[in-house]
Amino acid sequence: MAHGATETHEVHTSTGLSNAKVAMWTFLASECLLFGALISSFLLYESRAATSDISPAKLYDIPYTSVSSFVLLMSSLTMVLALAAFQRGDAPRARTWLMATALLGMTFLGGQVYEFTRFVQEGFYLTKNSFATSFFVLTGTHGTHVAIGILMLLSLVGMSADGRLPTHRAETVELVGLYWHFVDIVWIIIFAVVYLIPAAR
Amino acid sequence: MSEVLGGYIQEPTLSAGDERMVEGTAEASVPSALELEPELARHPGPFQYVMVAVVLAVATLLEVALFYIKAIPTGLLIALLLGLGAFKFAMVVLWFMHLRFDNALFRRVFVGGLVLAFTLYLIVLVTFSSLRALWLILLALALVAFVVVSLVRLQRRPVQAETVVAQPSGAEHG
Repeated sequence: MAHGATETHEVHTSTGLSNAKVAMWTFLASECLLFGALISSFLLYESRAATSDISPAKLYDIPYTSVSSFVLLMSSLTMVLALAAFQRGDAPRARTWLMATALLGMTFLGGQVYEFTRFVQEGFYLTKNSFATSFFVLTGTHGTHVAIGILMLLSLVGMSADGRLPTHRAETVELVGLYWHFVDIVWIIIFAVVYLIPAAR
Repeated sequence: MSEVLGGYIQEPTLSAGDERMVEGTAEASVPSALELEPELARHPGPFQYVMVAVVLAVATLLEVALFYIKAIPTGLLIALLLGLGAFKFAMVVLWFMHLRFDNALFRRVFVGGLVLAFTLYLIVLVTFSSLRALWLILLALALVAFVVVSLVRLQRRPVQAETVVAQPSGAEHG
C-alpha cells in the first residue's frame, strides 16, 4: 500500500481565505441570477396559464413531489455528515455518506424522469405552450445540476477509495458539498414557488 | 515506498517495520484539515446536523399540511409557504453550508448575489405586471443598498498584507 508523502504548497491569497472557497461562493452567487431568471420566467408564464386546458392544480401530484423534495433535503444531511467524517479523518465512513448522498440524488433524479414522462403522457410537453417550456427548462436545469452533483460525488468516492483524496484535503469535499447544498436550496424554492403555490391557487 | 520517494528507489528496500515507521512519520508531517482551516473548529457536529435535518423535515411536513388545509385564505397560505421556504433556505445555508460559522466575506458574497437576483427579477415581474407591488421593489432596493454598504465597510477594514496559506498539493505520489 503506497501511503503518500503528501506535500503542501503555498498559495497566495489577499483575503487570508481559501481562493477555491471564495471562487465557489462567487459561483453560487452567480447561480442565484441564473435560477432567478428561470423562476421569474416561470412565474410570468404561469400567471397566464390559468386559461389554458392544463393548469398546475390539475397536473401536479403534490404528495409525490413532496416525497421527492424530502429525499433531496435528506441528501443534504448525508452530505454534511460525509464532510464531518472527512474532517475527522474517517475516510471509510465519509465514503459511505457520500455514496448515500449520490443514491438519494439518483432517487430524486429518477423521480423527476418519471414525473416528466407522466406529464408528457398527459399532453404537457416542452413545446406545448410558454408555461410548459418555462416549467421544463427550470426543473430540467435543476435536474442537470443534480446530475452534475452526482457525478462529482461519485468522483469523490472513487478518488478517496483510490487513495487520491487524503483526509486533510477536506476542502475538496466541502466545495462539492457547497454545490450540493445549493442544488438543495434551489429545490426548496422551486417546491414552494413552482409546485405548492400555483397548485394551491 | 519507492513510489513515495518519487521513484528514486526502484525496489522496496525497507523491512515491514521500517516501512510502517516511515509511513507514520509521513502521516504525522501532514497537516490535518483542522490545522489547514482553523474555522472548521467552529463547525457543528453530527448531532446538531441531525437536529437541523429534523427541523427541516418538520418544516416540509408543515408546508404540505398547510397546502391541504382548504380553510386558509389563499393570500395567507402563499405568505406561510413563502415564509417556510425562506426558513428552510436559511437553515440549509446557515448550518449545512456553514455561513453562520465561516468568514463574513462568504456571507456577503452570497447574500450580495441573492439580493441582486431578487431585486432584478422582482423588477422584471413588476414590469410585466405579474406582480403589482411597488413596495416590494423598494424593499428589494433597500436590501441591495444594505449589502453594498456592508461590502464597502468590509473593504475599508485593514486587510492583512498578502497572506500565504499552506495548502495540500493534492495527489499522493504513487
